[in-house]
Amino acid sequence: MESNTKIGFSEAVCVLLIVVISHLILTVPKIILHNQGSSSALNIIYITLIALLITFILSLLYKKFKGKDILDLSGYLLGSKFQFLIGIMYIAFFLFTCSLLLRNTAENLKTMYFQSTPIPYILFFILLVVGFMNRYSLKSVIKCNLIVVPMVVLALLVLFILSFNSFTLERIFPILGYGSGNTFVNGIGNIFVFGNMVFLFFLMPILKDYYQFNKIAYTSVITSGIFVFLTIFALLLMFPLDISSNSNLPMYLQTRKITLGEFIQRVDAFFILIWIISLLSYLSIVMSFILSTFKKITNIQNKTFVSYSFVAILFGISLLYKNVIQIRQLDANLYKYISLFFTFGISFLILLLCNIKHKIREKKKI
Amino acid sequence: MNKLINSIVNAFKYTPPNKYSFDLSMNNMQNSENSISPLEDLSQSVYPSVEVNLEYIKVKFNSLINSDIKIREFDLRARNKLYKAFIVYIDGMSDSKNISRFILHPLMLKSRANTSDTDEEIVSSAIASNITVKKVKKFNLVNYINACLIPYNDVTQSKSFDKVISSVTMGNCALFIDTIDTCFICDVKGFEKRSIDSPTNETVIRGSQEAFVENLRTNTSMLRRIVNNENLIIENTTVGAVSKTGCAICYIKNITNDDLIAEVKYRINNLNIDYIISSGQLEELIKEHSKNSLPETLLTERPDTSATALLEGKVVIIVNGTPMALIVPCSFFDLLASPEDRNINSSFANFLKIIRLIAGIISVLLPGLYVAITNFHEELIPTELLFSIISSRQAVPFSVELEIILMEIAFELIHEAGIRVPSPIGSTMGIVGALVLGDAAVSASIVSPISIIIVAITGLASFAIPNYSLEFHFRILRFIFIFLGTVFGFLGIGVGIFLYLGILSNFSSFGTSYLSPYVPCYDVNDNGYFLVPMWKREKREDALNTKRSNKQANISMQWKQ
Repeated sequence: MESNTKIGFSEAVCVLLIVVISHLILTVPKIILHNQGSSSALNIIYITLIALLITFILSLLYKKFKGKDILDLSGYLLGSKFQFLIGIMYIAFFLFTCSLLLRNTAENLKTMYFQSTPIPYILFFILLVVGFMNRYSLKSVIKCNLIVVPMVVLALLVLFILSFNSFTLERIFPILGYGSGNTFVNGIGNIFVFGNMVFLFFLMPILKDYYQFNKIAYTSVITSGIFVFLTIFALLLMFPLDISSNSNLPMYLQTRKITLGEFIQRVDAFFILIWIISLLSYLSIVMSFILSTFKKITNIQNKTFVSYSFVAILFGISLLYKNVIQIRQLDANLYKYISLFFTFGISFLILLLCNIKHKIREKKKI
Repeated sequence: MNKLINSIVNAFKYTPPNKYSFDLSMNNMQNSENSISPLEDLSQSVYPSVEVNLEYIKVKFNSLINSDIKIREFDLRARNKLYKAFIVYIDGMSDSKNISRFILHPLMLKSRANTSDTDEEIVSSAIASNITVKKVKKFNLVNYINACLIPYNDVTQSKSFDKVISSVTMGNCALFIDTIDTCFICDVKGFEKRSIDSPTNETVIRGSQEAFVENLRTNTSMLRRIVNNENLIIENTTVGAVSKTGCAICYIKNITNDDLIAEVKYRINNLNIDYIISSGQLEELIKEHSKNSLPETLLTERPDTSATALLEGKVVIIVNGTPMALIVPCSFFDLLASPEDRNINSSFANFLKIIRLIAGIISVLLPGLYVAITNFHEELIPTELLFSIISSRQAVPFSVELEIILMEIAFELIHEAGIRVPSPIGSTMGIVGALVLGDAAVSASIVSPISIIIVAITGLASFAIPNYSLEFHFRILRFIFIFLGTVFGFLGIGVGIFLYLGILSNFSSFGTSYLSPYVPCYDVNDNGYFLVPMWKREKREDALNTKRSNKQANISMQWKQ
C-alpha cells in the first residue's frame, strides 16, 4: 500500500459508520421491530454489548497480525489459492449487499418521486456516480465520506430531536416484547446490524497507525450502537408496531410526521436528499473495497477497466431481482444470515486459525 | 474479437500512472531537474572589441527600426588614454538624467581620476627611513572603471550577452568598452509607474489601505516592510522565453516547508512558454488540475494578506506587471475568508464567515433546489406559499426550469455588461437591468415574481463570496445544479453534491488537501474555517508541515500572569 493512501482514525470510523447508517435508513429497523416488538430498544442495547465483547475478542485475535487484512490472513493460512477464493467470496458478498441496497433504494425512489421512470434509468444514474467516484483512489472516496458522515449524523440527530413531540412512552411496554427468550436468545441474531464490522478486516493495511485499530473498532461499535438505538427507539415510540414493522421505509415514515410549526409541514424530501448522499457514499466505498480486494488477489495494475466492469456487474445483479417483494424477502431472510456468516463467521474463523497456526509455528521455533 | 482479447489483456498489464502527484505532508519530492529550452541561444560572451559588440547589440535590438533603443557612442578617458565605448538603454524605461550624470559625465569629462597616466595601481605605501615603499599591482581597466569612474550605487558586471540583453529590456543601461570583454550594467530604471493606491477589490474597514502595484520591486518592498525579518527570501526568476517576465518567489526561510518551496520553483522554472503577461496566466500554468475551474491559488492585491500568508508558512509569487500576488497553497476555506476577518474580533469574523458559508450554499444550490422542489417535491412547499406560486405562474408560458435559466442568463448579461461599460454607466446598467427589466418581465408575464426573487437572492449571495475565481466557479456550478434538479429532482441534486464533494476531496493545492484542515482530519490547530480568539491561535496549519509549528507561546498574553 502506498504511503499516501493511509487513513486516520476519523476516516476509518466514518467508513464503518456509513455502512451501518445506509442499512439503518432502509431495512434494518423494519427487521428488528418485526422480530423483537416492543423489546427492540432493549435488544439493541443487548446486542451492542455483545458486539463490544466480540470487538474485544477481535482485538485479542488481531494482536499478532497488525497491518494484515483478511486476504493476507487467508494467504498466511492456506496460501494464495485460498486467498483468491476468500477474495472472490467477499467480492460476491459485497456485490450482493450493494445490489440489494441499490435496488431497494431505486424501488423506493420510484414509488415516491419517479413513478414513470423505469428502474434501470434510476439504477444507471446512481451507478454512473459510483463509476465516476471509482476513478479516484480509495483514500479520496474515504475522504469524501468524511464530509458525508457528519451531514448524515446531523440529519439523524435532528430527526430524533424533531420526533420528540410524537413520542408515546407507553409503546415501550411490554419492555420484554415477545418474551425474554425472544429478546435475549433469538435476538442475538440481530447482531447482523453490526455488519459494518466486516470492514474492520479490510481496514488494517490502510491505517496510518495500526495501534489505533482497537480504538477504531470500539468507537465504531459504540457510535453505531447509539445510532441504531436512537433510530429504533424513536420508531418504537412514534408508531404502533403494526405500522413501523410493516412499512417499507420506517424512517421515511418518521420524517413525514415531522412538522415545524404551521408553515413547514413536510420536510421528508430534505432527509431523502441526505440519504441519497449517504447511499452514494456507501456504494462508492464498498465498490472501492471491491476493487482493492480484486487488485490484491489478481495483482492488476490498471483498475479503470475493472472498475467499470464491476459497476456493470452491480447494475446487472440489481436488475436480476424480479420485484419489491423478492427484495424484501431477500433482505429479511438471506441478507441477515449472509451478513452474520461473513462478519462473525468466516472472518473470525480465519483469524482464529491464523492464531493457532502462529502459535504452532512459534512452538516449533522454540 | 482480437480487440476484446487485447483490451482484457491490457487491463491486466501494468500501465504507469501519468497523473502528476505531489503530497506536501508525505515529503515525496523527487524531481529537481530544472530545464528550459530557450528559443535562441543567447549564451554568447561579450567580445573584447567594441565594434563587434556594437554590431551584435544593434542586430539583437533591431536598432534601425526600434525607435526607443538608444545607443550612445563616445570616447572614454581612463588613465589619460582614450577607449571607444558605447552605452545602450531603452528610452522611457531608464532614467536619462541618471545616465548623463552618473555614467556619461564621469566617463567623458576630464578629471583627476581619469587623467593619471601610470600603468600601475598603488595598493599601499609606507615611509621607512625617508624611503617611500609602495606596493603596486598591474593596472586593471575593469576594476579601475568600476572602482573610480562610475560613481553609481548599483553596478554589476557581466560577460554574457544573455544577462546584458535581459537587463537592458528591464530598463537598465549597459556600458561596453573597447579592449575589455566585460559589460557594466547600471541599474538606472526610471519608467513611469502607478503609485501605491488603496485596494479596489479587497477593501477593509480596519487594516492596511495599501495595495500592490504593477512594479515588482515596489511590491516586494511592501512585503519586506511588513514582514520585517531577514529570513524573508525573495528569489527572482523569469518566465517566458520571449517576454522574460520577472517573477518573485517569496517565502520565509525558517518557516516554510522546503519541499513546498522546491515544488513552487520546480513548476515555475519548468514552464516552456514564450510569454506570460499576468499572474492569472501564471496561475493557470502552475495548476495541478488544469481542467478543473476550482482555483488552486489565492489571488490577492493586498500586501498584508500576502505577508500573513508568508508568516503562516506559505509561498507568495509576484509577477511583474500585475498588481496581484499568488499565494500557494490554498484551501477551499481560504477562498471563503476575507482580509477583514483577521482585523476584527473573532466573534464578528465568525458571524461573517457563517453568512459567507450560507451565501456559498445559496449561490450554488438555490436555483437548482427551487427547480427540483417545484418539479418533484411540491409537498415541501407550505400550502399557502404553493398557492401563491401557482397563482403567480398561471400567466407565465415557460416551465420553471426554463424561466430560471432565462433569468440566470439575463442576470449574467447584466453582470457582464455592468463590468464592460464605462464606470459611470455601469451602476445605471445594474439599476436598469435589475429594476426595469425585472419589473417589465413580470408585468409582461414572461417570468414569475418568485423566479425574480430566487435569481436576485442567488446573485446577491454570489457577490458575498470574497474570492473572484471561486465566485465564478460557483456561477458555472449553479447551471449544472439547475440541470440536475430539472432531470432528477433531489436525487439529481444529491448526486451533484456528492460528486462535487468527491471532486473537492480529491483536489489538492501544491500538495495540501483542498479541504484541509478538515479532510483529511488534521489537527485543526486553531486554523479551521472559524477563527478562535487571537490569543488562542498558537499553531500554524498542520497541513503545511512548516518548520516552525508554533506561532505564539501557549500563554501569549503574559501580562495576565
